[in-house]
Amino acid sequence: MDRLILAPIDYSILLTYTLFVLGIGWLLKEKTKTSEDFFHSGHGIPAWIAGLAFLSANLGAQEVMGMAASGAKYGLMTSHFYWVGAVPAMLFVGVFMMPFYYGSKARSVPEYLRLRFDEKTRGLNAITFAAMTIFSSGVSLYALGLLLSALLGWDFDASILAAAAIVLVYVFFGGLTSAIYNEVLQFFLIVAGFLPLVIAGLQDVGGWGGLVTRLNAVAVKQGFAAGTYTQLWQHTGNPVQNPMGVEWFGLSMGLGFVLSFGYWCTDFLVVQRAMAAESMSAARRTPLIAAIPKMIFPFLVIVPGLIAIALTLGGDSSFKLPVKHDGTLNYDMTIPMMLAHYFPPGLLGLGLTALMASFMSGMAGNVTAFNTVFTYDIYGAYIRPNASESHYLKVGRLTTVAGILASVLAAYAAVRFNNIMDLLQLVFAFVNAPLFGTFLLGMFWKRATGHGAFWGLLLGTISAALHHGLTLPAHSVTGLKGGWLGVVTNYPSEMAQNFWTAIWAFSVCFCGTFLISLVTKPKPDEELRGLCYALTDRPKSDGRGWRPEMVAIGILVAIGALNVIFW
Amino acid sequence: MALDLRIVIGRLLLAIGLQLFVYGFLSEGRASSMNIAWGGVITIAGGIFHLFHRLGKTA
Repeated sequence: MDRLILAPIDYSILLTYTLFVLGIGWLLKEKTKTSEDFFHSGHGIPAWIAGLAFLSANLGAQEVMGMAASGAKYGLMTSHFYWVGAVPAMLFVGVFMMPFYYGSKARSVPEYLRLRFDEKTRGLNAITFAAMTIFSSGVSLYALGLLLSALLGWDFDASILAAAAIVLVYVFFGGLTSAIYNEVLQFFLIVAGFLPLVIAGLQDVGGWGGLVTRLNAVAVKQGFAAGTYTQLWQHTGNPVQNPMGVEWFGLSMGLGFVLSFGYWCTDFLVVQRAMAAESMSAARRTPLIAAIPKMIFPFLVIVPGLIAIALTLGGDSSFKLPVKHDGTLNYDMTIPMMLAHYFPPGLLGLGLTALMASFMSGMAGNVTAFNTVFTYDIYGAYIRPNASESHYLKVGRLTTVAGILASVLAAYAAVRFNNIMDLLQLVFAFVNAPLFGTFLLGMFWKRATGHGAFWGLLLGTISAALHHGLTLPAHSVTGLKGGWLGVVTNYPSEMAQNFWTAIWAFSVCFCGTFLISLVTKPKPDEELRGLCYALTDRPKSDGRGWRPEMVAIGILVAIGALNVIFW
Repeated sequence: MALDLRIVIGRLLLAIGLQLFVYGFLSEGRASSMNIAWGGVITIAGGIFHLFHRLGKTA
């Protein structure tokens, strides 16, 4: 593909954003004096800021570019990742789980596991989570370098080192507050950068009606029924009826229950934003506030993908997605190609700044989660317990430097192993899916024990590995994609294989934890107060503002309506 | 709160919006109309955040 030539105005907008980001870090330096400030923003973040950060922590550029790419590949069914695979879980964590996280005064998710279960369960979660965040941060950096070198011809090494240095400066000085502030800025940049793209694209294809007509023609051309690219559930009776290759049960159970709840309810990267809120009430409202824009985001990030595929396969436009060496469309380039096609200089700078902000805040989110878990759950637990406040602040800052350096190394590892993105997805399914089983039992069944949780988690992860090793998606070769123990089942798509891997991991962890708990000794009730649903007082309304339960019901109704409208 | 985020968002949007708006007047054709339109919208959004800050202070 042709490289983009940026005008001085584009560079000026990029520079403006960079100066703001560095300025925030610098201004927050004076106000970040204790480890509490550095790791938890002094528990002083208002609900609306924590809510937007909660949303934006999951709005890295891989997510934004990936969702547009999926929109082009699978159509509007990609919205399931929002309306089924995110919002219900966000409501659940706000209404039911936040009282335990915030009320227990745990400083991290692994620490909650220690309080609820035991040290070994905390250790297992802390180590796997720390490794995952570094991996994830490195992949973010790698993708940024790749995009800038392919799109703008910038030097790969210089791009990743400059991005890493900027993130280092603002996280080192401002800690979590700095990361949260930049996540909120990134949210507004994404809205400001993508809204004009959606409007310009829709104008080009003749509005929503014109888009649907074009996509119906594309669906028929691809061998599917008309409407496959614009309907959510109509074609999920059989996996071969839709381009995603999934059926309704795998979709609802794998994505809508296990993967979604596993991520939003247990991943410290997002939970940390709510735990930084100024009060219990604000912490509970955080995921609910995030759920409202999350509900609307498909129109901002998936619709560009729909427009791109409609223009590429649906007729007469000069816009075409690039083709890869194997002859298939390069869906990953959907957003960059759309920006280049529709945006003149000026707006193009804004669009690219929004993408770069997403990459950097995605990386910063992982680094802040890493430095907290490493400092409290690994260093503070096993290397130097009971050290002073200032010592942990110093360790937190040094861990930030180490985390950034490790991310840079991970980015270079990604260059050598071009399948590291798939590997990362796999690690998520192995770690997060069983963890949700542990949390579900830990929070809602006081009989669950530490031995049950630890061995259940291990068994869940092993079963995920076994399932992956014995199954293979269609048109894949054995190895990283699966089948390395022998192929027992073939799935129509990687997506279907991921969903079922998660279902297996969760089910085995849940059953394993349940059965082992029955034959091991539970903690006495006194030690579980504030950690288990049955032994925790229900949070009372402070009489100010709205009740979380009522808002959650309202959002659920809206989500139901969207599913019916696009059925 | 350590630093009022409404001010930071407001100033960033103003800085970007004004640049696009002015650039729109200096350019021609589609670049002109799109930058003036969206630069204007982003500038107004920045102004609204400043207003939120003022209202919050008064309250």
